[in-house]
Amino acid sequence: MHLDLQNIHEIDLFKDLSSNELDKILPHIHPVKIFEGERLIREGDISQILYIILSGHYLVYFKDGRAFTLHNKGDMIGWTTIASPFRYHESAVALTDGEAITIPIEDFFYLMQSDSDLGNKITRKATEAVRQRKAFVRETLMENRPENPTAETDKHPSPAKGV
Amino acid sequence: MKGLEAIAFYNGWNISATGILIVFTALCTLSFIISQLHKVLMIIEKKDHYITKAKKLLSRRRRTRLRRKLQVGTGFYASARQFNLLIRSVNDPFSLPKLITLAKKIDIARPYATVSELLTADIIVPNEKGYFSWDQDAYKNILGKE
Repeated sequence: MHLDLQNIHEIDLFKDLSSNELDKILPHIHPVKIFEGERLIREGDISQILYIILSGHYLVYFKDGRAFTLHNKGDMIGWTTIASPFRYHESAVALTDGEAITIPIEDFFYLMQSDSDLGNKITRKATEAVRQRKAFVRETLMENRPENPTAETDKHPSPAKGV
Repeated sequence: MKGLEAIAFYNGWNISATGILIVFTALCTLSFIISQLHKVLMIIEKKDHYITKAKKLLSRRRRTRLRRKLQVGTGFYASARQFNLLIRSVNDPFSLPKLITLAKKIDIARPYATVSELLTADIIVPNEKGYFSWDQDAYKNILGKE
């Protein structure tokens, strides 16, 4: 799949970045093809990869059965990869074939360390995007927020039941 | 110049004919309105019934337009019918992931793609709390005629 600067610049998360900054992140983001029924993330797992949707329909759901769908270019799945407590709060599955770009956690931290301004810009945008999400997502985050996130990262909870 | 000659000279015949035409047209219009008045009164008396009827007609047109736009994969109609049966066994509103799990258990073909298409067609409708409802009217409109 072809991924150029123009293509990346259209994504809301990277909209405010300069050409130089885009050049820096290009080697750290990876385009992937996603297939119908493919599970992207599982609630409770340690966050490893952030998905940014390019195309396709996705179902994001919680253990209690609530869910919402994502299909807009730039929508994020697994935002806890770049924010505390670095553990997925939801599960996600692809309803259709699609494409996405992924940012592995190691690459994100490398970017943060090598260029703090760039890291801050991305984190700020990501926080903004999460805030815009539906109320029930925020409610879930509040309900499930661990009292001591650092202690929580060492545990390995059982996988979520679901789709 | 007197009498009929004077009338003709001053366009009296034309003016008379125009006057007669105007009066008769007005009388005919008035009589037509009076003859139809009972229908207007009936509509006013049953206005709620007619408003509902008009709304139904408009929504049907909207859904017909939607149906034309809907592009679905092979086997969608068969799977959607199975979902329609499956939906009767769950409460409304329902959990969409649980519905997909049930669909997989009973081997409905391509449950993910079918759910995506049902969402696009507004047959499965989300609510603000993260649960979903099945719109039977939309289902009938889109699949009923297939």
